[in-house]
Amino acid sequence: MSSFFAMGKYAAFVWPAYGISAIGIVAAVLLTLRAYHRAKAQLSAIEPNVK
Amino acid sequence: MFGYANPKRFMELSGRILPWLGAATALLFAIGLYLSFTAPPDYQQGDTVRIMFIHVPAAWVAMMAYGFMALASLIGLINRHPLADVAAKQAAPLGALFTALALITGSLWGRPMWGTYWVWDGRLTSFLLLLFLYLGYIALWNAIENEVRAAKAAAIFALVGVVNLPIIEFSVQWWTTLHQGESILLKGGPLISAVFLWPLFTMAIAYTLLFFTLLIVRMRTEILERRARTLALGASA
Repeated sequence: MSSFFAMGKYAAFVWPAYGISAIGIVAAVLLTLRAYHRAKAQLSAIEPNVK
Repeated sequence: MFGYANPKRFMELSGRILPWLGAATALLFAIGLYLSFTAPPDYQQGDTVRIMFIHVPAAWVAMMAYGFMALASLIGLINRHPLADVAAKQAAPLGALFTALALITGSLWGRPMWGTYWVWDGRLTSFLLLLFLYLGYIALWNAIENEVRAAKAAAIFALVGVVNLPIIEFSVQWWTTLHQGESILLKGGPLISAVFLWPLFTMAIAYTLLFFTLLIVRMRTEILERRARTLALGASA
C-alpha cells in the first residue's frame, strides 16, 4: 500500500497532477450546478409554473 | 438540425439526455481512474506514465472545445442563431479549465521526465496561447454590454484564433521540441502498449463526456437567465 502512495519515487509529481485536476474538475461541477439552481430559483420566482 | 436548435426544444431534449450523460460521465471516470491506477508502471517512465491518463485527455478536450466554440461561433455569425452564441460562450470557460489542467499536468510530467517544468518550444508556447485565446474570448464577452454585439465580436475573435489549432497539432513536427510526437493515431497503429491505451481512451471519453455534460448545464443556465431577464423587463415596462 505504501508503495502505491510512493508512486515509485514520483509521488511529488503524480499526486499533485491528480490532485489539481480533481480540484479543478470538482470546482467546475459545483460552480456550474450552483449557477444552474440559482437560475432555476430566480426564474420560478417570476414565472412559478416553470419547472 | 436547426429545427432542434430553438431554445424551447433544446430545453426539452437536453433535460431528457442530461441524467444519462451525467451517469455515463461518472461511470467512465470510475472505470478510467481504476484502470489508471492499476496499470503497471512504464519501463522507462515509471509511475509518471499515470500523468498521461489525465494530461492527454485534458489537452484533447481543450483543443476539441476550441474547435466546437469556433464552429458554434461560425453558425452564430451566419445563421444569427442565439443558441449557437450561447453554446460558444459557455464552452469557453470549460475550454480554459481543461487548457489550464493540460498545462499544469504537463508541467508536473515534464519536471521528472525532461528535467524542467517548462520550455518555450512550439507545443508548449502555442498551448499557452490557447489559454490566452480562451481568456481573451471571455473578456470580450464581458467587455461589451449589448449581447448581440458581444456575440458577434467574440465570434470573430474565436474564428481568428482557430489558426492556433493546427499550430498546436503540428508544432511537434515543425520545430525542435522536448514534447513527444504523435504516438496514438498513427498509420501503423499506436506506439503505446494496450495496458496504457485502455486507461487513456477511457479517460479521454470521460473527459469528453464531462465537457458536454457541463456545457449543456451551463447552456440551460444561460437560457433560464435570459428568460428571467426578458420577463423582468416585460414586467417593469
